[in-house]
Amino acid sequence: MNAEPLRRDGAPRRGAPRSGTRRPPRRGTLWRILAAVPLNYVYTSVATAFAARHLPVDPAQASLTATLGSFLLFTAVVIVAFSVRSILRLWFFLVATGAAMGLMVWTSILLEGRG
Amino acid sequence: MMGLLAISIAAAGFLCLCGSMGKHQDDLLRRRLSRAASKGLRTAGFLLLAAALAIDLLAVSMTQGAMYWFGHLSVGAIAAVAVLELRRRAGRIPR
Amino acid sequence: MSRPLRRSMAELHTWTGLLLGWLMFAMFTTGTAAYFQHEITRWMEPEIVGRAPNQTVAAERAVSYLQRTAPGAASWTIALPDDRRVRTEVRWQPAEEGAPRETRILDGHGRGAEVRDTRGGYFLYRFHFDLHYLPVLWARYLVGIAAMSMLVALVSGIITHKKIFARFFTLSLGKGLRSWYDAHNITSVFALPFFLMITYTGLVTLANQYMPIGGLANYSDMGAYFAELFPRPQTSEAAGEAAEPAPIGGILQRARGLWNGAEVETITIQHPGDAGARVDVRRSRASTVGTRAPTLSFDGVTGEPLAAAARGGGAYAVESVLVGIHAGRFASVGLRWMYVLSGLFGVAMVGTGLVQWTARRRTRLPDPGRPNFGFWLVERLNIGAIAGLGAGLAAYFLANRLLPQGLPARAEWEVHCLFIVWGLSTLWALLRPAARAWPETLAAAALLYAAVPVVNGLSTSRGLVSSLAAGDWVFVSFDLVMVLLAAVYASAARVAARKAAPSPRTAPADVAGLATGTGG
Repeated sequence: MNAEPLRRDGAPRRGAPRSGTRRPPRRGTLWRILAAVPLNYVYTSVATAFAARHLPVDPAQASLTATLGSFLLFTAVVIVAFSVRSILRLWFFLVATGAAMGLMVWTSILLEGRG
Repeated sequence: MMGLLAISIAAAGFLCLCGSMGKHQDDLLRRRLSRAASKGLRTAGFLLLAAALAIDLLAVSMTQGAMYWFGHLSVGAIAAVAVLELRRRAGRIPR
Repeated sequence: MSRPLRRSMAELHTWTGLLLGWLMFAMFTTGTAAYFQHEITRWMEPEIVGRAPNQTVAAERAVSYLQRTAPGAASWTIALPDDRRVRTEVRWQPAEEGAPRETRILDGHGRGAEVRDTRGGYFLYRFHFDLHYLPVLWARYLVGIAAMSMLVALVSGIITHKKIFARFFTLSLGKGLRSWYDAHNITSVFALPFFLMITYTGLVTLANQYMPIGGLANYSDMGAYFAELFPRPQTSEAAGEAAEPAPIGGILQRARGLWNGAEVETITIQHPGDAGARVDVRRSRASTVGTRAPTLSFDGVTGEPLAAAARGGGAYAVESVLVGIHAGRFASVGLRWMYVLSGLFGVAMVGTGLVQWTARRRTRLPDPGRPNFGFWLVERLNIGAIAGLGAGLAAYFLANRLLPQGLPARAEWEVHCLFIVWGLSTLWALLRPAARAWPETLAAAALLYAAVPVVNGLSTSRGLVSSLAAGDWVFVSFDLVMVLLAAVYASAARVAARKAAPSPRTAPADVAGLATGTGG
């Protein structure tokens, strides 16, 4: 499934491999990939831990619920990383909210411990 | 038996959805339907798919019914495409 | 929808689909076959004939076999036959420290069966998430990355294609790129809810490996987390004095009574023959959608039920159902075939997607006769993955019939045969011109599949004719599916050969439609 598989204008598509005339990679693509994979994994992990600590059910159920939800969050962040206009803003948002959740998880483990 | 019923209803639903699309109306009827008629067909299509789900849920359990529905949708869609393809082969729809 | 969004989603779809597309293809193929893993195992163990009249008789026969064969063992495990399985598998752990566990397969009469050494359909099931020749942990990470890519590819594909439904009902064959586009579209949309379900639930089956932090946020280690989530029956201590065991039939009857008549999957007896004996009975996973089947524990001497560890909870039940609908163990024959049909659509979706990648790019190559390395590699790996895996699976079944009985590590050699043929097909694809390699490897796969029922008929007494006469539908279906696959591969080879006829240099437009129809 690809958009416009039958474009008639014959315009070169970005990302299409072309021998000879190699175009410089699109600016921001690297940052999108980094946001979508490694940063996303860290962010999703922190969010999962946060949900596991704070869901109002018993710890085992909270952990499992959070784990089941993590794949949906990961998918959503990948999609967002490739659809937002400003990747810089997304980085800022992920790092800021991730750090806030991470801090809360950390203090809550320090104060209450784990089973 | 209920399975066959669900499949037929799903296939009918897909054919309604097909008929609601401008491009397919060109092929099937050689004219465009009015907006209201297209919309009606689309609603009917989705209602039929939902009816197939209801049949599966009632005929078996809730979770199993959903699984059956996935299967019946696939088989129904194949049937719908096959019907269209046969009509095309028979020259009823221009290629 | 804004144009840039659709374009970036299209690129995301293309690259997540391509990155591990070949692995996804193999996972979908073997996973689909695994829906019939017990039936495949039956075909691959043709020595086992006859079946016990019911589970109680099978269990009684297994216990008496174990009493004769392994009276002093630390524990016995009996995997009972059911609707789909005819074999009874008994395992025992010798009492000596460090002695390896022993396994025997019993026939319907409770006698040790001389069965050829094979991993059967179970191998296909394991391969679809454990792969082979790789450490299991790494393999599962790789499979997880592929599944995650699949989920992203599905979602981005849906976003890209608001228009998918507009062309949904059109399948134009023999029109090159357009055909691949339609075929990919139609196979994707047909079973879209199934693909989303199977990919997500597949991730759920190994969720705690991929996202361990969910458990680690509340528990200092995963062991403590699992112990609370999935409590296991405790181990019991041997009393050191002999005692007459409770009859196994009575214990099964009580267990079934507590489960509204559901079947039993396994029985584990700790310290058999001892006064401290204990019997754990696990309910069949085919009896409900959820896969976490409960286990009941009984005193091995009195036959009275013991208190069970409580388990459950909302998330636990949801997880059990999610894993259950992935594995489809509960499915009746009709639903099982629909699972297989949807799985085959998945195979076709990934296959047509991969071929579409090359079909689309070929038209843009400056010189189709001399493609760049990336294109060259994708094209060849497509042949290796799509035609080669098919040939390899046929070789696996042939090896089951042709390898000598006494061969050391015979079961492992059956598996080697699969990978040898798969590897050779890929090598062939790398060495030959692509336009030739497609029909050649597809034809080879067709021949191998056609050989399976023939070799089965010649090497066993359970060929197609005698199976038909005996009304043995599992064997009949297996042979017929092989014939069907041979026909599919043969017609794909014929189409590919016809497309390959004109020289690629003079007719690039035709080559763009190479092998049209193999997946559509």
